[in-house]
Amino acid sequence: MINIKTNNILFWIKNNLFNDLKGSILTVIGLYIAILIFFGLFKFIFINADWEVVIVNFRLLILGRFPIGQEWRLIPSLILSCILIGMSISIWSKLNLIKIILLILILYIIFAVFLSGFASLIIGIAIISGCLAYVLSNSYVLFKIKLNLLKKITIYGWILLLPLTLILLNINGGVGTERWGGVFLNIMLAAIGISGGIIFGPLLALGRNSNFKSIKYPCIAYIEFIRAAPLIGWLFLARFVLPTLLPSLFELNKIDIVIRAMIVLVGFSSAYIAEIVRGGLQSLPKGQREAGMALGLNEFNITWFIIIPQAIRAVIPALVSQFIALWKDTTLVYALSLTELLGAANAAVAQPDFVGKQIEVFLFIAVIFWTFSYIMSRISSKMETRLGLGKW
Amino acid sequence: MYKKLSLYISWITKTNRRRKYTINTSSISFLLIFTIYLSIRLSTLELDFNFLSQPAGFSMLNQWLTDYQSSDSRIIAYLTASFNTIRLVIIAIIFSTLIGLIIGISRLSSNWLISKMALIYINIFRNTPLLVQIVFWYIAIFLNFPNISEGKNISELIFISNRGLVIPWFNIKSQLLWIFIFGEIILITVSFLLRSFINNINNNKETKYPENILSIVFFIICSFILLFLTNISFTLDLPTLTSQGPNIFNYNGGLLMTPEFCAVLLGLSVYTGSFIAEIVRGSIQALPKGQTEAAMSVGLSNYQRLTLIILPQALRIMIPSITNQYLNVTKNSSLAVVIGYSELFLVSGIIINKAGHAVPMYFMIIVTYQCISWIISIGMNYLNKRVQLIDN
Repeated sequence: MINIKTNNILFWIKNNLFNDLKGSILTVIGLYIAILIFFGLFKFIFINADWEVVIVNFRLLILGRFPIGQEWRLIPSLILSCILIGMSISIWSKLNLIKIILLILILYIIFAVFLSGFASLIIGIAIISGCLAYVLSNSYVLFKIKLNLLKKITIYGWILLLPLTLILLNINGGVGTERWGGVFLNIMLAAIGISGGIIFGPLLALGRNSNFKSIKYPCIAYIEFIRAAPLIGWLFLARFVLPTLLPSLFELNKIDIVIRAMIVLVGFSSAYIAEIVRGGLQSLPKGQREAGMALGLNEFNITWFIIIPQAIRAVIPALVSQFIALWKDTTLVYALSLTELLGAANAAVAQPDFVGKQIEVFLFIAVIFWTFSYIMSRISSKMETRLGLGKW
Repeated sequence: MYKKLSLYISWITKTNRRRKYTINTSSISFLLIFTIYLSIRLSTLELDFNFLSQPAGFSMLNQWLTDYQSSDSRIIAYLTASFNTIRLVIIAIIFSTLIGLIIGISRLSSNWLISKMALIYINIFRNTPLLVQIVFWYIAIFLNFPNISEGKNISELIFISNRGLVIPWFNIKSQLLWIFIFGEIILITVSFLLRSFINNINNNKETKYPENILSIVFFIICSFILLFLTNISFTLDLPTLTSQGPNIFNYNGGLLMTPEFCAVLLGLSVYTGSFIAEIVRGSIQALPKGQTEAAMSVGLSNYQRLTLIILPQALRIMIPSITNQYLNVTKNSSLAVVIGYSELFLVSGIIINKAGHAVPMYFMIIVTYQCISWIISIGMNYLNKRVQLIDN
């Protein structure tokens, strides 16, 4: 409770760790547990663990059964995403230089350990181009570009990233979805689920708020029906029942299981996003719509320029946490026996050479999942403070 | 192009009558076509429920409340599976609430170490997918325990091995068990009614009867009478390790919790606990600081301050979000299918494999999950009404 600002470290220790008898006992017990866990982990990671299983299966974990020789399709998107990350950090984040250098060092060490040859060269080029983008967009004043234009370029870049990747994967023969795997599949599923949810979710929310009963009730029925059952149920449904429900036109009933999983993820996330956006719509005062009508805007323009931007702005943190949930939910396609990250990990563990090396593999994939969602949750909390939401 | 689109849309919606006509006809005709298509497609499938009365023909390891054998009908198998799900949900809710309360309060501790440890716990378990956690606990921890013959035991009471965890349990034997449970439910209701009745009497009198003590005494005495009448014998059932011949060991007695159940329970409660911890922290922080200061100035101890002042008020803010988490536990319990805990999806999957009829089965699953969710939200809404401030 007492918060004395002093430089004396002993004072700080006394006030924050040993302020009374109970606190001291708690500190000692906590310290014991912390030391036990820390040394246990340290000993496991650096001494006991045999990371060969991860090094050998690194390609399996990242790309799954992606055909060898076709990796060039992913290189442009990788470099573009690194450039966009660099630009976004320089525009929106206040990360200082030391943190960024540390981050790059850690990234470099990780990839130096696990990769060799051509792949590490590509990763190196991607990281360097990201750094270059950061430096260039940090000094945007020199190029006489306005900050707004830079922001627009970055946002359009993020929007175009997914179509670009999909086009590159399909031109000149292409790589079928059945060969996607590893983290790559997780990222693609999450990206498609999020983009589809952003497109259809607000539409559903508007439909639910509509004055027309013929639109309102089907929307309510859809949202509630989807939210009633767990995602894994819908995935199983897509696996066993969807082929019999789809028409045989254009071989629609023979579409790949990955595409079916994508359809389910889009439907699922749009139902949840619709509920979130509905909260934003309800928080808008009625005067906004009336003001738009007073200006003589038509219905479409009121919705598109007045209602939607404000409603979405109010619920951005909730949306980001829904995206995190969706990113974590992409592991569920493992139940359809796809080789996404968890499936690839299980395949790696099942190899006879690496019996009893489960903890290493699972720790590795847990760290990958954790990193992505932790970054997203940090972005979400930053946005919350920047938009000043929840404060009046 | 945008202008044209906008003009076109505004033409559709120009006059009220034309708009109403267009939207209603188009959406209703779309719905009609969709329903007709779906019913044609579904008519090719078998939609009756008769297959549920045939013998199931598979055995289940986890059982609760029912005495299921493989010769029983499929509906009994389905019921057993739903009881398994309900048991998992109830225990996971209890554990996750406890973990969440403890971690959430330690997050606000004035002790720096404890608060940081809670932060690390929340950050780690909130940002890792639940499925990865469950598979990690199952494959890397619970299946790596020593064999049954070399399993560990804690003072001959609790046995741990890769067969699962065995703890002492009560052995309840009676023909009238169901009557006893039913009677207990009635007794609880009656004693609540008694309490409110005494409360009513107390309102008009100077001398007040102790309503809590009276109702509890009434409940205990009546329970003993009921126990005596239904002739139920409670015996403590201690587990033992018996060997039937060389290298064939078995656990006798006690409550055996399979590794699947332990892994799912641990994963669910740790994962949901971290979410509840954040909710607890947020709702305690949302209280005005004056409440804590007032409690300190009245001279309450730390424990009294927490239980009498802070938690009852924070409960009002917490309950809606915690209800949401409980509903999430219900849906997330379906992930147990991945590691083979015999819950709804696994058993329904087996039935579908053996008998087909996927659509009726999935319909039943959705209804079952919806029922569990309804029960939870009705209970939590009742609790919510009880703790809310009553404004006049």
